[in-house]
Amino acid sequence: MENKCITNNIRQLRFQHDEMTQQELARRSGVTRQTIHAIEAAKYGPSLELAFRIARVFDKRVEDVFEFQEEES
Amino acid sequence: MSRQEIYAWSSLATSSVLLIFYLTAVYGWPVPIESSEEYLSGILWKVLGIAIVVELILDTMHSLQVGGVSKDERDVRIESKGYRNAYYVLAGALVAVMVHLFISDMVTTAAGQDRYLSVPFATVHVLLVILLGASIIKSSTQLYYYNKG
Repeated sequence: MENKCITNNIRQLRFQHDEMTQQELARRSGVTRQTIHAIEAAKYGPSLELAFRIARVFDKRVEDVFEFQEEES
Repeated sequence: MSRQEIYAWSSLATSSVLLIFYLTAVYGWPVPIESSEEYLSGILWKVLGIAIVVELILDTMHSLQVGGVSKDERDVRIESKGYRNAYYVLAGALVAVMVHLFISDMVTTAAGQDRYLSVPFATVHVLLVILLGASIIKSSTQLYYYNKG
């Protein structure tokens, strides 16, 4: 489940949006709070659909929320 | 702890107690079973009772929770990993039972007895134990991934 190559700015964006709680973000994006926590900690890589839903909550593009980092070989 | 994680714990506890109870009933107990029977039955009913109470509480909480989600894509993905591991156990056990039956049949034929395909009654017990074991593997896998993150 670990997905360290996809990082995100969710925590930062939550605080920029009136300190939105994980529960509130979970409710608005249609997942459980535990999933938001796992995504924030980069322990779970969300589906493309969920990534879009989260980005839409913050009124941002997906690439503004999530960042893909190439693994060094 | 999410609702699905609580379900996994509940399922693990129920399956484990059922497996222990079944093994005890089938294969015996080191001490006379009469002295432990009431105690073991008590454990079984307590676990089943707790599982039902947990289910009722979760349903009540879910009905009170407006707009909440009880199962999402991560839960589905973790559940599928649990099913995958349980399937490996079941498939492996099936192959083992088939090999056992094949060897048993060969021995019977070599001994000059009439050749017939029989399923020893113990095999049925083993299959039931494997079934409960697969359920435990599924719940354990789910809990492993929930704790991992």
